[in-house]
Amino acid sequence: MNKAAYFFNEYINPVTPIVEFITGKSHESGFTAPKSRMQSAKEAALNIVPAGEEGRAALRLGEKVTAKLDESAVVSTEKSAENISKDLNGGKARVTLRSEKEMLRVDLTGKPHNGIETSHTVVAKRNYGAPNQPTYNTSQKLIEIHKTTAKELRMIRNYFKNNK
Amino acid sequence: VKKNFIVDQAIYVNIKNNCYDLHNDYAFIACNFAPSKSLIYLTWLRLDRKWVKASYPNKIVIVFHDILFFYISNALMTEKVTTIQEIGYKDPDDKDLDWLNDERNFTANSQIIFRFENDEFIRVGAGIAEAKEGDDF
Repeated sequence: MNKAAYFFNEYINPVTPIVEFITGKSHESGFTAPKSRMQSAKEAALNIVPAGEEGRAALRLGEKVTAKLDESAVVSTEKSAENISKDLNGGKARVTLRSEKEMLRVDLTGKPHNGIETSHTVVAKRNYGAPNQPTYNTSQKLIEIHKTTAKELRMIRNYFKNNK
Repeated sequence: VKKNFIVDQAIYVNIKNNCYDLHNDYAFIACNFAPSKSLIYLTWLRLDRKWVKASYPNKIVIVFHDILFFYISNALMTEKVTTIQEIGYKDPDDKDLDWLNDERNFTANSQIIFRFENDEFIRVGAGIAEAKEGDDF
């Protein structure tokens, strides 16, 4: 494929994500490497936006599709966390990761914490003044809690991969 | 304190190679004190939730013998506090509960801290801490 055609298909052609969705392969790889159909569908929903009232309707439809796909992404993250617990962590809920500045306590499954369902991440900052290092502030008033992100789940997968 | 269990990742109690998650799988239900025998019993009951294995013992009890120090914060007696957030250790003269020692820094002099919701806690210093697993206590 010449450069101009490649550029058109990669960045302009609204049909490209649809083809990617159907084939499950990325245009970038010449349709040889797999690409998430969800991602392709999102891009297709955002790309096909004609002008005028029809365009606005299509945009609203696109927003609905994207919102639905985002819900799927949340479900997917929860499923992914469950799989990590089952396949890599011996069925245990918790994984603890420590870095120079903070400690992450990730509960992949189990009870909600402060109303945040699992998987959730508790972030405890390093306490450099404590006598035994590394030590982290784990008092409930000093920690932060958030829903575990896809990036954190990737970190956990890598942690297991590197510590086999 | 001499103990027959190891605390892992602040929530797991390992008893004879069996590992129990007191944060996610169990609810704290009782603290019993027998002053004439210098005993304290802390009891957890297995939750009936989808992620909890039915094969786990119904109860986990930690029995403290020869009590040297005991403190229980008010809300544990007046409010419904059942979820443990963390188990750790402190030297007897250290009152800073922002941080706790983990198993690496446990010593014979350590007191055991059970931290619950809203930083409510139980602190025990004792000669012996014995964890038991079972269905009938």
